[in-house]
Formats: sequence, C-alpha cells, structure tokens
Amino acid sequence: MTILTAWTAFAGLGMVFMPSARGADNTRGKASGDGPTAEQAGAGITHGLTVNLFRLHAAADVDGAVKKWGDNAFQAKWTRDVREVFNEHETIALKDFFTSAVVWVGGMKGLHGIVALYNPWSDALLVLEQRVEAGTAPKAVLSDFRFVSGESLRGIAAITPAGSFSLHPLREPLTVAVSRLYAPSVAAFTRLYPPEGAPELLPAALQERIDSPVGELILIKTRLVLRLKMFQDYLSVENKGWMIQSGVLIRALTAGDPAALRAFLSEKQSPAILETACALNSKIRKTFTPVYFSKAQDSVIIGLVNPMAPRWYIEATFTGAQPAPRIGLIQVVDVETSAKALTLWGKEAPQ
Amino acid sequence: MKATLPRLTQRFALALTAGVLLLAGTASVASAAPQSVGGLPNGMMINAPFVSLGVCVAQHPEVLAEAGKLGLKGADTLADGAEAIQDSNLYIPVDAGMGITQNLSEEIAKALEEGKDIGELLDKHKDSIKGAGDKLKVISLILKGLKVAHLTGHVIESYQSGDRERFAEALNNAVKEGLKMGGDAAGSWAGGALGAKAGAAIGAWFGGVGAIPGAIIGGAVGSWIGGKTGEAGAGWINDNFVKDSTRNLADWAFDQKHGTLREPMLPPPISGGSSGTFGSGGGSSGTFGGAGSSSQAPPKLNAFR
Repeated sequence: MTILTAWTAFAGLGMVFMPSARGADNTRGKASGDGPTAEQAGAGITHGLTVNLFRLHAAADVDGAVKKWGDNAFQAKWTRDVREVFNEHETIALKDFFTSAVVWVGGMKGLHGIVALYNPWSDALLVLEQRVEAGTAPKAVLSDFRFVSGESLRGIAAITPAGSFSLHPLREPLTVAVSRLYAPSVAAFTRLYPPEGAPELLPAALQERIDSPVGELILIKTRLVLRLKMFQDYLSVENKGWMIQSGVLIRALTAGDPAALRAFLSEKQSPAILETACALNSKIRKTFTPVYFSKAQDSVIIGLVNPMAPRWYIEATFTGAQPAPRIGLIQVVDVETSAKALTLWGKEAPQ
Repeated sequence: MKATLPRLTQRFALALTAGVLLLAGTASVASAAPQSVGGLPNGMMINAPFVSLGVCVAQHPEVLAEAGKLGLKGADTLADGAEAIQDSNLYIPVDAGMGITQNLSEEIAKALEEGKDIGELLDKHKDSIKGAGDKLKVISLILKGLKVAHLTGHVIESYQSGDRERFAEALNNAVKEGLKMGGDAAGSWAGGALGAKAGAAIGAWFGGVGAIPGAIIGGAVGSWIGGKTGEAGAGWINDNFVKDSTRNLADWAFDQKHGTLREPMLPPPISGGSSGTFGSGGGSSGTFGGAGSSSQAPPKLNAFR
C-alpha cells in the first residue's frame, strides 16, 4: 500500500468518485468566481500530496520516480522530451529542480487532476496530469506532463538576460528578486488552472504562448546549469569559509536557539526576525539546505530552504569580504507573501 | 577506490539514522517509524544530493567547532547523533562533511563537462523553437559569462539602508501572520504538523521512499486555503478532509503492519452545500463552524491574488 491508502479513504467519503456538477464544469481556463467546492478542495489536496511524493522521490532518483509514478506514455514522453535536453550526467540539475519546488494544485475533476511543481529558484514549472484509477486499491499515475518556463507561464515574450536570469547576478534583495518571480507566476497559474476548471494539461491561453518542449526546456536548463555552477562555487575551496558560516547558521537554526543565533549574527540583526525564525516549526528548521549562493566583493548572500517545506526560506546576508564573526543578517521569507513583499518593497525601496 | 556520492550518502544516512535510534533508547518499531518518515535523514531522501547537502555541511568538523563556540554543541540532535554514532558499534567512519561535498562537486563538474551543449541543442531544434534567434543570443551570452560568484558588488547600500530594514521588518510581520496559521492550521499545508501526520500515515506504507508530503498546496487550491478566509478555512479543511482520515489511516497502517487488520474509520461524508455562512463560531479552537461543522458550507475562494 502507498499514499493510495489516502485515496481509498477519500473514496470512502464518497466525494472524489462523484464529482460535483461544478467539478464537471469546463470553464476553459476562466474563473467562475464561485471557488472550488469542498469536494474539489479535498481531492485537490490529496492530488497535491500524491504529487509531492513524486517530487521528493525525484529529488533523489529522477528516473526511478518517473518509472514508479508515470504510466507508459508518461515514461515514453519523458524519455523523448526531457532526455533530449538533459542527459544522464545532467540529471543532477533536475534533482535540484525537484528539491526546492513547491506544489500547486490546479483544475480537478474527481480522480483526474492537474498538479504542478514550481521552482522559483529556476523559474520553472512542471505541469503534471494525474489520474487515480478507482477500485479497492486505487492507483495514482501520472499520465502526462509539460515543462513550462516562467516566461511562458507569465506570458513574457521578450527574453532578456536581466529578466530571464534575474537571480544571477542579483540586482536587488533576494527576497524581492524571488518575489518578482513567484508572485506573478502563482497568479498566472491560478488564472490558467482554476480548480473548477477542466483538468487540462495545457489550457488554450497557455497553448497560445508556449514554445516547443525543447524550447521551454532550453531556458530552464540554462538556469539550472547556472545553478550548478553556483553550487560548484559554494562548494569550492575558495569559498570554504562561507560554507562554514552557512553550516553554523544551519546548526543554529536547527537548534532554534535565539541566544546562539544572536551570538552568531550581527548586532544589527532584527530581534523580531530572529524570533520568527525560531518560531518556525522545528520540522521546518531542522532540514535547511543551501539553495542559493551569491558572492560579491563586499558581501555574500546565501539562501537556505527546507526541501520538505520549500515554502519558507532564509536569506542570509554576510557583509564583508571575508568570513568573520557577527557579520550575518537573516530574513525569514514565506514565498506566499511574495505579492505583499513586492508591495512593501515598492513603498520602501529607494527611488 | 573512491566512494561514490550515493554510496557515501547511504553510509552516512545509515550511521546517522542509527544514531537517532540509539538516542531514542528503547525506541520501538512503532515509535521509530514516524520519526523515520517525518524528517531527514531517512532512506531514500538522503540520496537526494541537494536535500542532504545542508545536513552534510552542518556536520563539517569546522562547523561543529564553530557551533561549539556558540554553545550549540549538544544543543541539537544532529550533534548528539554524531557523537552517539561514534560511540556505537554501528559507527561507519565517513568524513561526511568533506566527503559528500567533494563528491557533489565532482558530480556537478561531470554534469557541466559532459552535459549536452545548449548551443547545439538550440541549433538542432531551431525550426521548432519560437524566437530561436533571440533565445540563442541571450542563452549564449549567459553561458559565455557563466559566473555567479565574484560579482563586483551586491546592492549593499539598499540592503543596509533604513528602507531595507523597514522593509525587512514589515515583511517579517507578514510572515508572522502566516505562522499564526501554523501548527494545526494553515501552516500545516506548508509542511508543518499536518505534513508530519500525513507523512506518518502515508510514509508508513511507502517504505523506502517514505517522506513527509508536506509541501505547500499552492496555486488555485492554495489561494482558497491561504486567502482572506485562510486561517479558518484551513481549519475547516483539516477537520473535514484530513485530520480524522489521516489519524485513522495511521492507526490502520499500524494495525496492518502488526497484524491487527481493521478497516480505517472514515470521517463522515461532508455536505458540499453552497448555502450557509462561513466563520461563525470558528472560535479559538481552530475549528470551523463549531460543532457539526461538516454540515457547513466551505469558505469561498478569494479572488485570485
């Protein structure tokens, strides 16, 4: 038995097997304004939880996850489209994608749903079509997928270095740069894939602007390759001191010890932010891992994320050319506050 | 012979997991199982290089030394676990900190060296790619100057300005608002308590791939949960869809595993009626609608954010 036990339970609720009239509606990508029914939300959450297992499996073993969760057509398409762009050595880049991707749930019709994985760090979306075969032992399978670049998701036609590679180099606070990607992306996804809409892999509005599979993956791959280089820099001997700094921060966050964090971080560190970091669920704090690294002559910025709950990340700024005691400042960020972050930044940023 | 990254991570995982179990003392299978599915390190996940990177960096000897200066030695289970491992018969001498990071570096180097040439890929598929010329131009530019470190400078002046500090504080307030929904409510959907509960139930069946499923359930459904009515809405979802079923699933899973088979007890069917009001009687218990809440209408989806 697997996660599908949960599907069995929901089947017992008599809801996902009997989609409501609203659930059967095809809004053609347009919001009805009524919102999802309770059935849709419940089924959507279960769809999401199931796909999240695929995500975590893929973070460790991409091919194994595709084989386990995808049906034959899915596997064949993966080989044809994804292998064309990422060879066996480059699978590690996809593991990076899966490690820090959040789960978004879209349109669903009972046992048939659309779930997506969006990674703001590589501005990439993987839309998945999932079907649960009913029966005494329901089986969830991924039946189709499509990688979509953030640009296509948001309807950005012009590809520019500053727009498509906005995190490298970083031109503004990491918090803001990530929010600029996340906020419009989740909004676009929600418009394209309302829960009351049909579970279409590619809604008409997206079909109009999406590129060929390789065309989408090329942009995503470039960002992922850039991130591999970033990790290589983070792990280099030259930057060992910064790795140590991040390791100490990870340990202090894991402990959730305000005194230790105060002793480690700059005197300028906001106590409120520090308290918030310690207030995070201990399960979230205990598995932070590096997700971002940027080094400049005058500072280093490191992002930490919990792969189990990539919704939250820590932005750590170390001001100084060399690692030293008490030069770090942290910010706790919830990607779900991205829209708010942009509003706040618009008010506070120097004009 | 040089150990491969997966082999090292597996050995490290084995040692660390053994340490955690040792710390648990007389931990029974029943109590150990949720631990192993509820967090790192465990089975399959430790093979994920970017997932385990943080754990490995945190085990670096110099990190341990620096953390010790802050009084962190023994303050978390990682440190305790490492010490317990080294005192145990199960100790496998692996220089986790350096070995794994070195191997990850090698894996990355191999990917960068032996990866498919993006320029060639673009050229090969140029007829099917929209704006192939522009993409080639920009991507070539990026790959040519592929350097993410040693930038001339960050925008430090704005980072350190009063504006930046105000921004950080204001944003933190927004994050704190979200955390208020944590615990048993909305935070659960992002990997907190509910993730662990569901993980215990689901992971128990998932064997080697067991991992907590606690990611954000965002997008359209997330909008609904996390919108204006999010706090109570999440509680309502929790009460009606997940809490009881996952608890009973956990019981059921345990019984199945240990031979006392019984069917899972399911929460009562819900009414998806569209009438009624939402929020009255929500109360501080975090439940929606008070007693008999399952007959209440669900909260409405907010307008798209």
